[in-house]
Amino acid sequence: MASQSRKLTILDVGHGNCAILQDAHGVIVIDTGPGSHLLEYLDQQRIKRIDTILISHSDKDHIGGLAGLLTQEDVEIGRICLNTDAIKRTDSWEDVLWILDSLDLLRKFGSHVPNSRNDVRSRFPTLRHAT
Amino acid sequence: MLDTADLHRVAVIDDEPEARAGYADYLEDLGMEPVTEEGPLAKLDHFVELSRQRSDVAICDHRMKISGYAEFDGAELVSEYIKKKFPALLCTRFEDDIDEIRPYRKYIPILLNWEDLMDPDTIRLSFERLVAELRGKIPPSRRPWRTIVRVHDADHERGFVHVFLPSWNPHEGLRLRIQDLPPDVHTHLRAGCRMFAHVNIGAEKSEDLFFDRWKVG
Repeated sequence: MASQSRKLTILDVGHGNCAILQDAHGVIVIDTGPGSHLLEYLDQQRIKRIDTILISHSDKDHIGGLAGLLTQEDVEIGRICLNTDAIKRTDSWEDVLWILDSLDLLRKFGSHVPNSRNDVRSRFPTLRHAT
Repeated sequence: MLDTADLHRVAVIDDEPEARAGYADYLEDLGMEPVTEEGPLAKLDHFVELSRQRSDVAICDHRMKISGYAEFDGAELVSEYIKKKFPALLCTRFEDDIDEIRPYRKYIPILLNWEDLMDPDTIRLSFERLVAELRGKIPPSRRPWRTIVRVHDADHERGFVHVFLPSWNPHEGLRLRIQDLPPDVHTHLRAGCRMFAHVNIGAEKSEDLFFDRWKVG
């Protein structure tokens, strides 16, 4: 793959992190930060599909943006990889679970919610919004 | 097309005569033409049409009903101006006015303290932002997105609900008046419940947030 086709964008989201890795094969988002920075970027770049979202840990500043991203109706998401500390069951994590449930994403795509510390990495395979 | 260079005649709408006069002097010093609106003001629709004819932009105080200066407050007036594509900005002297202002906030591009306007750069920038938004250029801070609203607690007796917007700022809660939410949402308001709303989660400050299109999950 030509290096020119790869692009790493690091967004200034204030307190928190958010990076977007793009190449010819797809888009990976690493942490989602709060606010609308990521949503604005996706819109400006006309990105309608994210192949993978990596959440490094489930602190509020990292997972809050995930809640915002999941609620968008026009962005398709391939899968989400979460760090094992998602099992802390914080309010922010419960927010994400509520969205997945409310939008019927878990049932529709048979996704897996982590519930033990053995879940080193939790995956939501082929998870995407209903259209 | 609306341009900031066209904003020369400035309506000054405030229920305090001394404040109107003082601010008119200040605007004159800046080379603008103040149009002080003496009360009592006409009915809302009529006043909007009258003032649009004699001014190019309006600077409006929020609290006006209490003194009998007008039958409406500034938030309602400014939102009507903006719906009619007339540039207007809202000023307040009181932080707790936000409860009354928020239901109209979607149609209030600029909310300032009166003290802020004593800075000429603030006036210039505010006019530029007004014109841009009326031309359809919505800044990220004013763009609504569907998002989750988590209820922290609901006091139905006092009529307030405290909520968190994890996608905006997971650390800062805010208070909303239950009466400003759609009736079908009211019965669902209890601690821990979650719902969807369209909110401008790019806003920097809580007073800039507005809510629309509520939906119970």
